[in-house]
Amino acid sequence: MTTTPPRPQSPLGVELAKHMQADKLILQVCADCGAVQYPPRERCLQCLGDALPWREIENQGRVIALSELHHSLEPFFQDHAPVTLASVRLDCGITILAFGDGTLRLNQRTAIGGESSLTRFGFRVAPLGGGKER
Amino acid sequence: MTASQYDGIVITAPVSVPYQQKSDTGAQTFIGAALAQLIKAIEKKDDIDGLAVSSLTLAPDSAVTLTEYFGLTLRWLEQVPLGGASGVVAFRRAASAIKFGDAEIIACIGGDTAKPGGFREIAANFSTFTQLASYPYGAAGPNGPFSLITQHYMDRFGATREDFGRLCMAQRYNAAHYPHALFRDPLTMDDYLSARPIAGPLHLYDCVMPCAGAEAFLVMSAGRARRLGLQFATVLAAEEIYNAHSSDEIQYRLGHDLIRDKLYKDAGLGPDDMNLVQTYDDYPVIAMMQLEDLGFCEKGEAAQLIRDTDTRFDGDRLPHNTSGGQLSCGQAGAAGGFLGFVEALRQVTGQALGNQVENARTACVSGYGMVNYDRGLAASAAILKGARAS
Repeated sequence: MTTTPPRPQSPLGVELAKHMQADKLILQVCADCGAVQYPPRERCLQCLGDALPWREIENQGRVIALSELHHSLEPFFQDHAPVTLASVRLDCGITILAFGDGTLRLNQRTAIGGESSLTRFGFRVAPLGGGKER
Repeated sequence: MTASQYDGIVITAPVSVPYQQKSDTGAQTFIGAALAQLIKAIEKKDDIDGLAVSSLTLAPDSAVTLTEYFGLTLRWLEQVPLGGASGVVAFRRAASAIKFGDAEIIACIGGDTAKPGGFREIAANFSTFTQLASYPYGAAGPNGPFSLITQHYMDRFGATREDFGRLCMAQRYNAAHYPHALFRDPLTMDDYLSARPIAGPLHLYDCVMPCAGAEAFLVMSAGRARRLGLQFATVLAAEEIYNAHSSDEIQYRLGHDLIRDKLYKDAGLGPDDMNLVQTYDDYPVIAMMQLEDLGFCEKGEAAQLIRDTDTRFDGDRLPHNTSGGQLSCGQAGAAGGFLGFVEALRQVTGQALGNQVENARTACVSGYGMVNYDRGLAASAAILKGARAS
């Protein structure tokens, strides 16, 4: 039996999935104060405003922590173990937990992309410059 | 010495409901067993007029439904949903209520069940941020963020797996002398190092076993405890803090460093005056951070402290997690946030269950918990002193 990855079912989760794209990063940005929000929320973390439109933001950052997950509470990930978990600090100062791979190194400059399909959900560490090294 | 904020308030009746790895019954089973033992200590059920409860598996029930469930009429009620920080915080809430005259005898209980699949359910739906931004990334539960936190700490301060192993082995030694621990067989360094990998640097013995059980104590006035003939301890100081150091890229300070000055000042004591310390040990690195942030060594030097110090309950300098901690007892949900507090209460009142620290009078207890996204948000600490005749 094919397993599928867990995905958030809430309205915010659906919004998040809708904006996931392979080569760009689209997150909520506060219309009032400009603060980038992640994880997604319904009120701004800085000014508590409620206008948080989804906008493309600079997707580059630095790998600040890495680990290989050998054990999962979900059959999908257990089938795909080990899964590389990466914590990426974007240049705008927010942290994104993302899927990585075994080639990543600590402090490596990297980019974040995302994907939402039946068999994949989530942000992923993407090659810098949309596939072209620079 | 100045009068403590909690002068005249005492903690008494330490209760530990034996843990079990799985249970098909509700959290009420374990919370109720703890309540029954607390009632036995004071003889009259109706004398309990306040309840503070912590549980992750009580839903759809809550603190108020427990009043009807257990046939209690209460004047004061509190639910403390703070995971590993809950024990100290439940005390603080209860002590304030008694000072304010809202209640006279308050039962503080942390208890949870462990139904098959229950841990997955808790981990998957722990919070909005968990659902949106951490669980979908490998669904490792707390092991995910803590593998990152542990690796970062090792890289930053040079701690090794052997250092974590030493801490786990000392706690396992303590557990062999504590009847309620689920894991009491000796742990060798070889066992520790060769255990199967779980997440990054975390291997099997770095992770606590989710289980069912409860921990509890009573809070009341010193006069009431004396009239009841109960052995009791006072709390010289207690503090709590939330979302501390939020700008640290990876969590390496849990917040205890921000509360310790007031804690020790209020207590009129320092870390060197503590006869024992109980840290919240969901992972070895977290216990080590608390030892640092509470001043038992400098920041980044807990590994050296563990190398140089016999931290077993019968060691000579710094008995640590004397019942074996969660790493050996198991993690009975929110009861894990009460384990150290209840054990410290037993220790400083000379009521330990086979693992008594000699001449234990003072104890430092710390709590930590509630990983919402990539770090724990709650931290707490208290200093206990046994009220035995000197």
